[in-house]
Amino acid sequence: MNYQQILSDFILDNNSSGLNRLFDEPADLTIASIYRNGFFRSCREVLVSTFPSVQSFAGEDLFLPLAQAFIKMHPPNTATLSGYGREFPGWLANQSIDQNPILFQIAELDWSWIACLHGDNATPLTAELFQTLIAENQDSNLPQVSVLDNMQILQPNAEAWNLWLNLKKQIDLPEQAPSATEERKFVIMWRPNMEVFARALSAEEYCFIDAIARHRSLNTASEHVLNKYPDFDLPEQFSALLYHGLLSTN
Amino acid sequence: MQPAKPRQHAEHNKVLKWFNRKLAGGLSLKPQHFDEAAESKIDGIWFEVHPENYFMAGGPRLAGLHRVAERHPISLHGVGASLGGGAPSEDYIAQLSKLVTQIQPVAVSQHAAWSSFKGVYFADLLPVPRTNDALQYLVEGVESVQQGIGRPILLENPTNYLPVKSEMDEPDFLIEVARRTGCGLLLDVNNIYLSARNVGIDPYKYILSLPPGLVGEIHVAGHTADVQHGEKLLIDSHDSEVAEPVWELLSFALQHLGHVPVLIERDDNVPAFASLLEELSSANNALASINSKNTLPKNSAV
Repeated sequence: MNYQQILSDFILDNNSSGLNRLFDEPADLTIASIYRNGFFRSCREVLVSTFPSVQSFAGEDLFLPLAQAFIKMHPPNTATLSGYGREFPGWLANQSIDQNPILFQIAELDWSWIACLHGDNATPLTAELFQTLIAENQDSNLPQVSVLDNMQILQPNAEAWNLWLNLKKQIDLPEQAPSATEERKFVIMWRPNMEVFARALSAEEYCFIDAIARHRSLNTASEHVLNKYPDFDLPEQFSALLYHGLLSTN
Repeated sequence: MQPAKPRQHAEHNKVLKWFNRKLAGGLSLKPQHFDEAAESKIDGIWFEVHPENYFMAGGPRLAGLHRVAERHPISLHGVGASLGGGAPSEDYIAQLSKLVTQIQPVAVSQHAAWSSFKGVYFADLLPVPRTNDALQYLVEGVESVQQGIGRPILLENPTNYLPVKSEMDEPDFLIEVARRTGCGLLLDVNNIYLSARNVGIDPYKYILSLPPGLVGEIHVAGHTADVQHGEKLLIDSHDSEVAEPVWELLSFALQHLGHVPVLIERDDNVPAFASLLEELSSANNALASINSKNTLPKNSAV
């Protein structure tokens, strides 16, 4: 449709050559600019709210030009800005800026937090329910369990994780979120109810959780982690997962 | 996708009209007000959200909307359907349909505008020329959404910042879309006021040309003067209280249209819930006074 092409060219490329075919002549470019400015402002505001830690760390002077460049390269492609910015961390990773690689990893953490916040609701498996399931089990296998559907696992470096955690704590991460452990290769985010939690995982913990997520079987996951880490304290780690509301029966 | 049958639309229109007689002033619903909104005991209150902000799998925002919807009527007011560009994407309709099923809104509305083109979403309500070609695209868009959600929608009049090429007046354009699709209209009084100020339409003539019964919902909102152009260009910012001339135009519209639920739209610079309730009482007062004598202002210029 011609009128859409005309205004699209103006908004995205500042090409005003067709505006007089859409508006009564002469089209006042300074007024038409409200469409162009409105587009970039809306997208920028969403990036600011989705990546608050990136903006805090980078500062407005760096973040806003980056956001503007990203919007030009990756304008929104769905009819809502709610999920806009999915490509931002990956795009950021390829930018020649002094703060990389920290900055894009902070962006990945921000994005995962949003994805977890708006992810599927799930009822966490409780210790009581788990005991009931065991009692009802006719065979010797452990009950089928999985991780919460909203769970996110990522692998930032230690510096990015610590920076993000500090920035996020200043904003809205619950205080009860466990602090980082010695090994910080893996980070998990999960939302047992309506609040997002985040913590670092040891390699052993990651192996166990990842196996549960992939196999949806406690038997298989237990065998897998014990094969790889014979000293893994299975009962204690499993209790911790139950206590933190990370498991479900979905 | 199965087309909605005209009979289904007629049934929905009956339900909508019944609700509309019960409903009074409503408020835009924002997440920071979920608790107060859910607890509100104001007679006839209802709330409106942009459905696109709830196109998500789960989480506290969606849960908050459900909590309010359990207690009060909800209206879904879309900003992303891009009806002026024809049929929305199947994904958009699927997500809207899912939310309609979950929330069971009293009304679903969209804009006579476009916002997506060639895979880019512009996050804005962009103007549609009032030509026969554009009208056909708009008709396709409205029909597509109505078929997708199985019920009629209300179509909102746009804000004009520049005079678009036109083969017909805006009310005639919208009424024709309604005639062809069976949709109703959502009259945004602030948009009419802004169009009057920005491009010189006659707001009273505009309102009088709308058939009572076709308008199922009214919006009023705050606006701001453009930074560069000042009062010569008013922006539909939804970031301040409703201006006095808009309240006056609302009273005029209600005298002509009769009882139609009125929404106080607020999307930015959102104040405390109590402040919004003060504005809501103004809307309710305007609704309460519609039985008084309809007198046209001597000077209809805005």
